[in-house]
Amino acid sequence: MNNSSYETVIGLEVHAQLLTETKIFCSCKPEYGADPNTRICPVCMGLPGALPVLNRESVTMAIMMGLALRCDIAAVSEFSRKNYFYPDCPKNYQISMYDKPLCKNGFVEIETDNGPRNIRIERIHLEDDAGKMSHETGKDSLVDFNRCGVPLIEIVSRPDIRTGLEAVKYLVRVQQILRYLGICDGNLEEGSMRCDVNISLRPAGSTELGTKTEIKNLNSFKAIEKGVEFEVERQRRVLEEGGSIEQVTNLWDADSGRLVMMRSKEEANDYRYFPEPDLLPLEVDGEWIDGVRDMIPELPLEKERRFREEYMLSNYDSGVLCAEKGIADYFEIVAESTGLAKKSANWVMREIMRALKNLGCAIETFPVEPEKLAGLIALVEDGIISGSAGQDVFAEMIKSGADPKEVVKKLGLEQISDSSELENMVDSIIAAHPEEGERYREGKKKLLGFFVGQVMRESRGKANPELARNILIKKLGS
Amino acid sequence: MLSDDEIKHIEKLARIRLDNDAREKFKGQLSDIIEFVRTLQKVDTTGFESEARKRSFKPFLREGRAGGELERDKVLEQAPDTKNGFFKVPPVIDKD
Amino acid sequence: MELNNKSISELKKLYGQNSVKPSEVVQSCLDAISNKDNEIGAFLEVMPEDALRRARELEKESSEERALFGIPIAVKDNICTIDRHTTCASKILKGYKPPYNATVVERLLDAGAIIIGKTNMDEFAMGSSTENSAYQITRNPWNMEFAPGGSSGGSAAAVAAYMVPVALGSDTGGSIRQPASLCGVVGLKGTYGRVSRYGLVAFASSLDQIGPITRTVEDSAIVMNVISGRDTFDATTIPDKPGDLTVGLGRGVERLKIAVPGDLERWDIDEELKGILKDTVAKLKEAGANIEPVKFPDMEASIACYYVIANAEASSNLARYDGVKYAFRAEAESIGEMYERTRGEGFGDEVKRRILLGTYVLSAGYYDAYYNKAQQVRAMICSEFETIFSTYDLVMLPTVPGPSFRLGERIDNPIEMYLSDIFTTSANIAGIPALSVPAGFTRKGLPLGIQLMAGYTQEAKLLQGAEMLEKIYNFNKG
Ligand SMILES: [Zn+2]
Repeated sequence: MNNSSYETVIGLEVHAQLLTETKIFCSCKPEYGADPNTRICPVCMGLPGALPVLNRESVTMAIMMGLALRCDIAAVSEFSRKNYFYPDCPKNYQISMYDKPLCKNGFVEIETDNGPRNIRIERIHLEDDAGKMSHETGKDSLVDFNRCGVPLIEIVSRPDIRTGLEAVKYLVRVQQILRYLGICDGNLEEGSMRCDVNISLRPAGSTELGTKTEIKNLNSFKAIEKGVEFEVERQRRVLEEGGSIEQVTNLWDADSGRLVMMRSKEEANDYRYFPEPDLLPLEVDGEWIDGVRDMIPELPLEKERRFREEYMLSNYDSGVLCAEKGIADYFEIVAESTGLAKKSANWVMREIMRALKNLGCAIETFPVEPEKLAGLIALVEDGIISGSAGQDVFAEMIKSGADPKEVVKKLGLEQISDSSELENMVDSIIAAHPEEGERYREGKKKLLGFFVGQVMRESRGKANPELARNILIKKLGS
Repeated sequence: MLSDDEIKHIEKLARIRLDNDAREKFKGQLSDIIEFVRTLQKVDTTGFESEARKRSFKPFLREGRAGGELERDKVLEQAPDTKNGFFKVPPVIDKD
Repeated sequence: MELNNKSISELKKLYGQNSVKPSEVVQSCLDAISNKDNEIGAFLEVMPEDALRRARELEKESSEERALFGIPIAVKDNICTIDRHTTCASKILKGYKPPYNATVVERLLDAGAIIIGKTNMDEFAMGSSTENSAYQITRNPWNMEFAPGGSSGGSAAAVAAYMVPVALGSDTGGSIRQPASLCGVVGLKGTYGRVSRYGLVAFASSLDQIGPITRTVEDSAIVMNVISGRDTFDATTIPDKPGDLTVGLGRGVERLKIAVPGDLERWDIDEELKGILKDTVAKLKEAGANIEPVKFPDMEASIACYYVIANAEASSNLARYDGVKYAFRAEAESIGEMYERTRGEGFGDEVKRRILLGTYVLSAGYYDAYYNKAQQVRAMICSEFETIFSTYDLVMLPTVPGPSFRLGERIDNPIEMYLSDIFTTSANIAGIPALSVPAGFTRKGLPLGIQLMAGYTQEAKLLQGAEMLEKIYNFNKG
């Protein structure tokens, strides 16, 4: 059998921590990296007698994601209890929407080699996060409950993804949208965005799903791509050898680049879901949904489309600029105030992105404001300073955050674009080189370069070369 | 009557270990209770199949106002075992 | 003056005349406790220093504004009291001191009440005799060989023995009304959601309600006024205040329509109790009430429904007692062993039975047959009650089929014990208010009780009818 005889079927479950002011069912303020067990209260600790009360903001954020992914928002949804024992779960049940999720039936558009494709979204639901464990092999485990009760949305895709690369493209899109909405910082390494992958293979052309396996603990895009490839290859080998796939859950071990089996189907939990009696069903009316709709900014896909049309940018440029909302917004201010879209795009994509990387900072805290960058671009475009002087000015602006004009003045980089000053200079140079002037007029036009060089030397490089050239042509005559 | 395997399975789900004597006693008692609650199945509930929970008022939601965290020492002093500000538990051997 | 014998309304009068001080009242109750409680065993913990300190603090202010100024109160041990033991009479919570007060406790304190101790109960409120306490037996003050009922047996015994004028109980399937009936006191369970459950250690979240146990109907109304009303920490509390519940007192029963279940003969009801019921009907008619037999919701179905729902919820609510975060832990080599041994050794037999039953009815393959079916039966019972209360103001029936039973008599027969809840569970299933009023004594001197139920949120009517019964029985044994 060859590779094309199997089709890969992938579904993704993304957990995203919402950036709410408080946890989902209590008033604790979540803080990543806080001292262990300092962000807890009777409710999120599940102390005897404590009760959950749903935080409105977490519902609003979940609805935002639902609308952004074109989901239907349920008028009535319901939390259930998912019962399982684990030390990081203080109540030993998770409060999660089960058979009545908040959002259903949406999609995410991704670019593939065969053009754009919609990955369908089955559901988005709310739930509470668990705490964190640290294990030492063979030794006691330690538990920190700070993360307990941080609101999560779980975004469940349909099995529409075919390759590891598509999975990554889908996740990048989801991450982008979460960040555009400002509801999750989408950090895979820190776990504010987590991803579980379900994979199965089936004979090409078949519509039935094969037995699937699950991979957890994928905490980078690279791990996701590799983990998927690894598992697809493994399943293919098993099937080609005439074996059958066992329903297992695997953990990705980034250090060894391997999958480690976590549990088999026989050990699969019986979660004994039932409706959470401490919370009444959640009702969301049209007014609430409309209010949320008004809060949704232009999303990356629409923005990319608009950048192509409005600024005549390429697919590539608009994709790069729109990857981050902050960058896209920055670019727009620059482009609007210079009126030079492509030039602005180049500056943002090269100088700004390089500087951000070097500084390790986000666009929001970048010292050069977009209006100032626009000023700098204008100085170069108007010939006030040369292109290379522009680079020096930019470097200085990053250091001081100063206005480009001030920097130019301070460094004395201003080009001489004043024609009367240049005319005087040209006059004296022509007067000093009568022979060369004579030969030029006799037809040795190449000597114009010599005169331009003289002007540049005289002006210590600050003369606007274009302007100097024109004055020389005029003054030397023909 | 519940079988030994059935009651062991429930014990496992509930994380309660019974000794053999208790299991024997409970098996009989639980079987009686299950027999008793099975009478429910004879009740005609036509018309109430998809009934949601009784609700006669609009539920309210918490508005995001942060605060109310407990002092860590106060929480940890109730714990059976702690270490460096963490709750300490025996090793989580795989599959638990 | 034996202050411990006074009712709340009598004490209020005395405080109003400035003829007693809170510390005298507290001391009198403490004396009564030290005289009687060695034998009765109503209290798990008495807090003399706390109570006297608070009494003296209260003496610095005026008594006028606060509804329970200087009133000593006992609290069932499943209601959280900050920094004071709250064990639910279970070994698994031995030594546990919550870091917060239940909402009811806060409200009592705000109203000027003085908490004097924590009362014994069936472990986690599971039982009908208080014999399931891990710590001690409580005896019926009317006959020390007999059970006080349960699960709020300690609270009912404390009030019946004149150790306190009022105690809080909790009622999941009759746990306030049944011991009130067996001890000859007034026990009120309000509409589900009337009193906040925040800080009540959960047994069955959709059924539990805290309520007062008092010696008079008026006292019941006074305490209910204080503890009821919406709590932002309990999403299941009813939004509106019931209004002053004492307003209906003294109005009599003229033109009230009272229903009596038509098929009471089916049940094995004590002959003397039957006589009392018949006599009561006659007297109520004399007083102008309109009394008719009705078809009552199927009581057997109701109790089966109750055992499925209550234990399913309990199996999840009690999952948090695992040895990780507080109180009891059994030593073990692995986390799994720790769970199984902590829970195996920490819970008593009745609790284990109910957790196992609840786990069973929620487990894969049984959910629909048991839990789901029980929810349908529940919906049906609710609807049947709605029909009844669309015509009638009250339903009257026995609280328990007979008087108390000997300690030890039923402990090994779970089903017989369960059947003592036959007349009480349907009010919890439907979420409607119900109360037990002392109706006299058997020839052997054991109290009997009559129960009233009212429609959803109709506590005022319930208390109005109860006060009339109180007058009829002229219960006045000092
Ligand atoms: Zn909290």
